[in-house]
Amino acid sequence: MSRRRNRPGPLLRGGAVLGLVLLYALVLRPARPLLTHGLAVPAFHAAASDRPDAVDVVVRRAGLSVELYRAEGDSEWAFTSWTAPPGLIFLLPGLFLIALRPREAYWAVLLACHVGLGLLQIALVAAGISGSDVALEVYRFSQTYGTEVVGLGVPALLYVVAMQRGRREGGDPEGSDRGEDQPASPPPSPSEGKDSR
Amino acid sequence: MRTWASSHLVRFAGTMVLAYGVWFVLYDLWILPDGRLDEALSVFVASATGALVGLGSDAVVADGRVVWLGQQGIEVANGCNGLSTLSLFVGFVLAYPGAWRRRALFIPFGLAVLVVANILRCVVLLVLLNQRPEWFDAAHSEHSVWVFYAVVFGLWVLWTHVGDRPAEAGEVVPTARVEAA
Repeated sequence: MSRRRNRPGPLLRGGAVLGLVLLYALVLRPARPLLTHGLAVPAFHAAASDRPDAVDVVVRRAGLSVELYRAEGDSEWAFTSWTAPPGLIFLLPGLFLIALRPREAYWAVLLACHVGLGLLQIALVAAGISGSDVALEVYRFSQTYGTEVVGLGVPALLYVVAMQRGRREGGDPEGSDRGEDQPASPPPSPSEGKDSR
Repeated sequence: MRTWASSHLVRFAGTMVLAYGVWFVLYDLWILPDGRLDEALSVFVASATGALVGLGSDAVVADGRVVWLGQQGIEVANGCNGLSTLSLFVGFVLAYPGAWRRRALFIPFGLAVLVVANILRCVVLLVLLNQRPEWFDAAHSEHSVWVFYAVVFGLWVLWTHVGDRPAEAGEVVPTARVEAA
């Protein structure tokens, strides 16, 4: 009975969802251009300080993204671009997580992952501008997979953690409609894997 | 009590990075220059799009990667055929613990779902281009990617349940291993 009492009601769930939407609209979204102008662009300019005429740094989409052009060669096409986190790929999975378990700050973990990846990507692009082709390739890899893995994979893992925590607490994850036989059981341990292989 | 996150995260992340890294290198060095896989997938998506739209219109022509509806057509380019999304999906399923027999069934199932989702996306884009051309650019560049994201996320969540279920009798249930990628 206490478990049922502790379950968040629709009011708490709706309030948490609305809170995250407001946090995004009033704080996180306006912070993205600040991150671009305050950190990314200075870092890119600093990385190009040895050859300031070699790379053009162009801010696009009202400060949400940066495109980089080489002054020589195929200068009409950006050789790479960077987008400030956290975008909608944070907000929508974040809403899913907060609706799943509104009392837990899983959305904050997701936000930290997005910001961390964004900062790592700034460092990789800066290293690429200063001449490291390897850094640019790693950045391209992180663009292709890193952003989507953080945006979709981290919420999927947090979902698993939420389900397991809910099961450990003696029931389904807070307020979920799932029955107790439905949530995932713990993944097999390494020893089980070895035995059964 | 150790949680799944603390006990398996490093192995999971390592397997996933390795899987994506291998595919990234293979694609850049061989698959993209060769072009046949991209071409085959693009032509299939274009022809299936044409066949679906053709159920409601006689003005559909699929020509290689391009599918026309009247005077308007869309080209299923390499970046639009969904190949990178397919690899994104597979990498997670390879990395997350689960029985190999289930994984061997789930991966083709998920790939089929993603291809169908891409075909439906192309159908919507083609019809939009024909009926509401002013909506096409926004739908193509900004909105339609969410179809993939939603489907991939749903498949991953589904796999955390399917892969995690206790093994049935005689079923091989290894944990994710780096060499599995």
